[in-house]
Amino acid sequence: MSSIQLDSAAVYAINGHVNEVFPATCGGILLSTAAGVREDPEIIEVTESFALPSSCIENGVLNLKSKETNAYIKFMVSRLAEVKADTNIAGWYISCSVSNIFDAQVFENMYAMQQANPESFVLVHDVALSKVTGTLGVRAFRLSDEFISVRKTGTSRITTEMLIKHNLNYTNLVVELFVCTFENDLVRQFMAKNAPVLAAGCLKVPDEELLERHADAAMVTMDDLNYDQGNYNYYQRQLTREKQKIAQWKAKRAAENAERAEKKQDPLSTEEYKTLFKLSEEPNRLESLLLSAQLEEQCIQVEELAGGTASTLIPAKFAI
Amino acid sequence: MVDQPLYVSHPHFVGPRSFVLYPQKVTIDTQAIFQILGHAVRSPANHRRVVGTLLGYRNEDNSEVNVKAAFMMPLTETQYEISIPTGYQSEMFNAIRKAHPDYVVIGWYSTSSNISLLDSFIQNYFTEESSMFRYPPVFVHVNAEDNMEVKAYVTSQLFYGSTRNPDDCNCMFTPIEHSIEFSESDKPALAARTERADPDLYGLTSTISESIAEILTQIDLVAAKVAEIRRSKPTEATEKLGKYLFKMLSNSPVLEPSSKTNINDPRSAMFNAHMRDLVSIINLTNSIKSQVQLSTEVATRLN
Repeated sequence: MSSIQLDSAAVYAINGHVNEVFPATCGGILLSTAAGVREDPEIIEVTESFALPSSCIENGVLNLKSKETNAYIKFMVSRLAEVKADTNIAGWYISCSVSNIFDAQVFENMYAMQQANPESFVLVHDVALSKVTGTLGVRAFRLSDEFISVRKTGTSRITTEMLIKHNLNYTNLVVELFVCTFENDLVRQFMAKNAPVLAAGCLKVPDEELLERHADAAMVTMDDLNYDQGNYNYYQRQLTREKQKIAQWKAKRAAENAERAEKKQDPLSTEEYKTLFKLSEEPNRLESLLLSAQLEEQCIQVEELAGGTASTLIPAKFAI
Repeated sequence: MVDQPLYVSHPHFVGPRSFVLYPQKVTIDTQAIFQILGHAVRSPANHRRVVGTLLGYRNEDNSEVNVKAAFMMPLTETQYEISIPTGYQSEMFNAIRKAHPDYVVIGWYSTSSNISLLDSFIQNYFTEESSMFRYPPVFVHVNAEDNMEVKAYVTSQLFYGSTRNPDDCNCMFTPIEHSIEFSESDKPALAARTERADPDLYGLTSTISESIAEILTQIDLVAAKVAEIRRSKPTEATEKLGKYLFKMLSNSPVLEPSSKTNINDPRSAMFNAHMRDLVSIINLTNSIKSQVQLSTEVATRLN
């Protein structure tokens, strides 16, 4: 599995962009050296990035499949090619909390990008988390092979049968990639001269507002998941009822046929129920998968934030 | 030749607006510097240097400019000749402006080791281009070839002879004040850098002791200030400070004084209550996770 190496130029440009538009979301494109000329084929080195216009955001989510977005990307790449910059589209970035990537539109973006370049990934920059923890809240994801094989079937509807067949569940929708930052020689030299000394702030008790916000968001997701579960349960009850009816019909037909056989009459068709009863269609399981994954991620986030606060509080408690 | 006067135009810029001040101060954001250094490091070995356009903000009277981003220009250069494709800059600028609507063209940068004669031609090109944007360009020189020194310049035009023909014109580069800014939002990125450089526990303990020392100095500072205020007559300034400190104190919970050994120490009780809250939050999220897992299992297994 490959890992992502972010050059300082990309790190700071992305950081500047996402902080500029925060709390709104934004996104952009990440460029790297072409796969063929990489030093280490396992490391994707992101050397350059450019921001996408805010008009590429639809309902708070980046739309990478729109005509406008693609025209913009094409234009920027062609211009960057003129100055011989790296123009291999390695992936894209988005500023939001990690739990927000479990969204149908984001998944469509990831799928489209991975169709064009199987190695592409999405870099999620969580500005709110970065602000609270003082660390770079950056993680990278790619759709899992399991999800790709289900999505490839062409039908927009994901059924339980497909989930079982491809061994897909909410925990393996995406794969996380390792991200590290990298300073080239010039940057290292520059930083040796100019880097500021960071004021140590490790004793600061983290702000718990974000914890609350994640807990609230988890609650909303839980409601959505409950609703979805309710729908599914309704479908299952309906299905059982219909199956019962069919079984009754079959029993009745079998009895009729037995009677007719005694009277030496031709048996009636036993397949006729297929036109009489129509089994209701299974609701799309994608929504439930995404909500489950989102809830899981929100829980992890809450745990990490609460754990972080606890570990800063414990030494303070001993001091009392 | 000798009796021809040399004209030096004062650092002001004659554009569509009659008179524009030259910037006196340039703030260069780290993101722009890293972009420039990135361009320099990846430029082909036979390239002498990288030249590009600087984008960012300027204040109302153009006395201060802030460089936010940089993009490279496709420049072909020999010892005596340079060529810049027309239109590249404005096309690129218009595209970037779709994503960053507030950006303006600030000037240009070069990564050579020194300023050469050709630079004045580039400066003239940018002056002409930026007359479109009504402001004189700033030149930022990043010496990526040896000492990484960053300098900012504005130019005055020098005319030789009385014709004032722009083709005969040369430039005088006047250095202006500049600073490299690590903004508040860069801190997480910088922290990631320090963490990597110093990931061991020893580093952590040293940062903790630094933090403690910092807090102690802050407490001393406040204590000294309070003592000083108590000694002197109240003035408006001290009154303000007093009110601020009082407000800060009232934010913290009121605690009954009690002995340190007492288990029922209210501070200890408060900490415990908070810890219990945190632990129960963690337990709750854990149970939610298990439930999600369970319901998924049930849904798939039953089919």
